[in-house]
Amino acid sequence: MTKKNQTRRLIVWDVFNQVYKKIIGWGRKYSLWPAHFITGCCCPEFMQVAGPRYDMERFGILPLPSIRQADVLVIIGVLTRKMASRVKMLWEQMAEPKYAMAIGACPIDKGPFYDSYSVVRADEIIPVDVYVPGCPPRPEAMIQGFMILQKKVEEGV
Amino acid sequence: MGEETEKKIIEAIKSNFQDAIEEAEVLRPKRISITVRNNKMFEVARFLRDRLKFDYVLSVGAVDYIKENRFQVIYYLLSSKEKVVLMLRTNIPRDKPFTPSLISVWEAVNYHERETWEMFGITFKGHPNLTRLLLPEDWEGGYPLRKDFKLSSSEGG
Amino acid sequence: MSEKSSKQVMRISWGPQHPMSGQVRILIDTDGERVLNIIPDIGFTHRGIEKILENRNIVQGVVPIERMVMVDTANIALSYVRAAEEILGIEPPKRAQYIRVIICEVCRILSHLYGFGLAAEACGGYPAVFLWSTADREPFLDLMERITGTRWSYSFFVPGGVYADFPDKIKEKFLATLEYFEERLEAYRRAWFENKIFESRAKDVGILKPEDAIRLGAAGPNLRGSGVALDVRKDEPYEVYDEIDFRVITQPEGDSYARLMVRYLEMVESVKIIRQAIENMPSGPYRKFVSPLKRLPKGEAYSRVETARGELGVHMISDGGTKPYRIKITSPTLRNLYVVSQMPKITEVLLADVPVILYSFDPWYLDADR
Repeated sequence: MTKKNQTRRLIVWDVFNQVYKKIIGWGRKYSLWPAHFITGCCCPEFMQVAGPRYDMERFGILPLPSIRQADVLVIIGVLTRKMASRVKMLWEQMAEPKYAMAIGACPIDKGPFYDSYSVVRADEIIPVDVYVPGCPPRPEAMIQGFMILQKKVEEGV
Repeated sequence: MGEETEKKIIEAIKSNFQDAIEEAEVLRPKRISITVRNNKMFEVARFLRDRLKFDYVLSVGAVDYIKENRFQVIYYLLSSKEKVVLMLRTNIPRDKPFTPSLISVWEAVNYHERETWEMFGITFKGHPNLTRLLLPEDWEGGYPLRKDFKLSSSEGG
Repeated sequence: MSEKSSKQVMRISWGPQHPMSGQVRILIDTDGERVLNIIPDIGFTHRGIEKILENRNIVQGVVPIERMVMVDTANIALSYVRAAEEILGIEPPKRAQYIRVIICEVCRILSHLYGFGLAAEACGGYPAVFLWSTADREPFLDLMERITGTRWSYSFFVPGGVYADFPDKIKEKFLATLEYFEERLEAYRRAWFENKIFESRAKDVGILKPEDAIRLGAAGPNLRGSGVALDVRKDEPYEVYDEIDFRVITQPEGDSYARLMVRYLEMVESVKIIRQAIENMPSGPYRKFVSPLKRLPKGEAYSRVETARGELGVHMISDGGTKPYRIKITSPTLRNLYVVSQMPKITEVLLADVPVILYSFDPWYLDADR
């Protein structure tokens, strides 16, 4: 193969790769599926985000019953020791690529229960990608958290 | 409205169990508190259920009086007809925390006695299933609600 | 001889990650379709609130305790604040009591809507009714945000009264929201209670007789759904419930349909209560200032409040310091869960009925775990 042909091949392959990554990134970021899983008291606010006014499904976020098919593990609310061992089990069951979000003041640094004997922080158990503070965080804050995660997903392809 | 019903209840208890009652008083309208010797708990409980119609159990709890070296176990009972709350109390020594279980009198004390055992270390003799209810299965830290279990925010903790 | 039936018992573990989202593990022992045993495994959200409250004074203590039930924070905070006021021996001004009753009834509506939505999803996979109830909470959350500053956990009650007065022109907003909500209640009745699918799934399922309800310790609408008329707002009126005209809702049948009907009719009563309270609210001060560093007198108090899930009591014992010596919280959901666990022993339960029965009791596991 001549050098000119080789270079042409490399350029075509490079352009194809970039377009391919953009399409995959667009597809992945708009179909982040969390599993049906709540750990603490921020859950009613999460239900409001799923509701008609704040509608998270227009971003492609659809809660899923099975953990094996989920992309995101969302820790909503306080994480206790008893639940932490289950969270580790769930995290290990998920398939790559997988992400984790910690929503609420409690999984970030124990929130109003800072001196409790049975509350743990989320990043002692699993590696967390996005933190959303608040007690409970406003729905707009949760959506912003998801958008930050989407940017991370798109760039990480 | 006066406290006639409450006073009649106290009279009935005192006249049937003179030496077993350490203290009996009307705290305020619709609140009665009696302290019973531990070896007569079972008979007093049966009397309260059958003759005075205290049929609804609200909860079971305990208080740790560490300076006086005693625990106080409290049963919170409600009469569904008279709508009066009665606190049935008994004192037990802190180094021998045993008390008879009242599960054969009111079966609704099941979960509450389990929780009191877990938090204080008080053994309810006769309870069929004194196992962990709220704490994780592998908890080794002691009894959380005792006064010598200090949180990170208490003085000296 | 086939007289000896070979009972093969299978244990199903309905774990903390499940499609009906609740922080509990339910162990179900079944023999084919027939359920022999239901064992709730709770404690996944145990934060140790009773221990934490021993390190908080009476103004700080409202914050952890109201996070016991996020949809019904006002009623629980009221129970704690009333116990503190009883020990201190003070009574809040009349206007503060009316404000408290209005906020408590709004929280009751929010909580019943939530329970309603989850029960609808458990009975027929009706995401429509679940999303309706999510949307109908929004006008009330907007109202609460205008009054208290946040949507869910207000921390608005304080011993001595409330933190702030109602803003101007809030009465018109209340009346507009209530009018909208009454139309929605009519829509719920047509879509849900006149629905053949719901009737066949919930009627005669999980029947609880009145004597069993008292013996096993059911709480709140579950007790009233079996015909027992116990409601703290009428038995021992607190705040201004003795000046407001409302009735205690009971249904005699005792099945899951009756329990959900009680919740629905209680929402109708709450609308009536809020309307009366807004009309009759007097003017005046809204707070009697009590310093958080004040030493509590020695004594004890047991306060009872009717929350949306049942009667909740706070027993506060004080030894003369600024922080209480012991706080004992009587949780309604712990009592309800015992009733659920005894259901297979008092009536016939099939495997498909387990979610319907569980969600007709409206459990909130953070309330049971504290």
